[in-house]
Amino acid sequence: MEPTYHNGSINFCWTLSTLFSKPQRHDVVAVRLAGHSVMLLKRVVALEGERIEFRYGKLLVDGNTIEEPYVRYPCDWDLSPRQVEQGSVYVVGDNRSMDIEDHHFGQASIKRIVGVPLW
Amino acid sequence: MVKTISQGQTRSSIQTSGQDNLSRPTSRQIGQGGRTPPRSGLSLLAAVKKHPAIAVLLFILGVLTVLILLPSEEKKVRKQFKGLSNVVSKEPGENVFTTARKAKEIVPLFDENCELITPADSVSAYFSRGEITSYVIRGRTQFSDLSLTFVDLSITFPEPGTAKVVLTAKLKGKIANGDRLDETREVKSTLKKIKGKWLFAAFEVVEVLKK
Repeated sequence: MEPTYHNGSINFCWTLSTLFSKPQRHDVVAVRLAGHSVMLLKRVVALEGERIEFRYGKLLVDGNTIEEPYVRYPCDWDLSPRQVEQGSVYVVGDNRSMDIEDHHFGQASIKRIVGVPLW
Repeated sequence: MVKTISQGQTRSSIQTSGQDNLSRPTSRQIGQGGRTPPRSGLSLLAAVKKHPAIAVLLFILGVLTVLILLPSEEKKVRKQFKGLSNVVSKEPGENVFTTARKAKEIVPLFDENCELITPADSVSAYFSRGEITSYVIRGRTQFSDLSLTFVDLSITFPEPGTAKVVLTAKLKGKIANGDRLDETREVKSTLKKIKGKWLFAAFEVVEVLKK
């Protein structure tokens, strides 16, 4: 999630947020990667049922370009269109300067979202 | 029956009726000098009767002993994961004897065929013990040091002889070319109890982020 959140930094999460509302586009969420304590901080870029793709580094949702002011590093990603399944959201990190193959991103079940960072 | 003893009578003159009582000390004898020690079993029984707390304490000690000496099925399953962690992990500068010993120890951990599912790599296949051993040996040679740990184990027994485990696997190591590996994954594993031993029958790496 560089440069928004730094690797290894400590963040506090508001876990009750998932009870009151579903995650929205551009929200940063904590996704439970494994067990009770291993989390990933990612940004929601597409919601269930939407079609997502990357073209020349630009995010497209249902064919429309989405502005992402939080992406500060140059990006040249290309990803073929794919539909987000029901009960899931599509999450990507803010650090798009790294190779797409090395970046942890994709469709995550809403059940795995445990909260949002407090700051 | 003990005859009455008058003052000055010697010990040899004590007469009892019945053969069984010949060796049993009389109350008088015990009182005279305590030459015959009281039986420990009887005294313990007496103590327990007198103090019920001792009985409770003994019962707790017994239960603890059974628990320690006879590990539960869950402990046996955990031990199996510890064993796998030990054989996969590698210390820097590991000698050939340790490598050979660990290679030998891999085989008895697995069922004859173990299913491996990694959706991210589109792998879903059964591997024999021999294949698993050769993959592990080959994999270990790529690293100068390697550590595989399993944490957050959640163990269930859906049916007799089958254990389902959801856990966090942490793989850390230094590749021979100097790059570092630090991967954490949620893994689902199935173990089968065969001839009294829990053996790994399946591993599935949970795909949290599906591209």
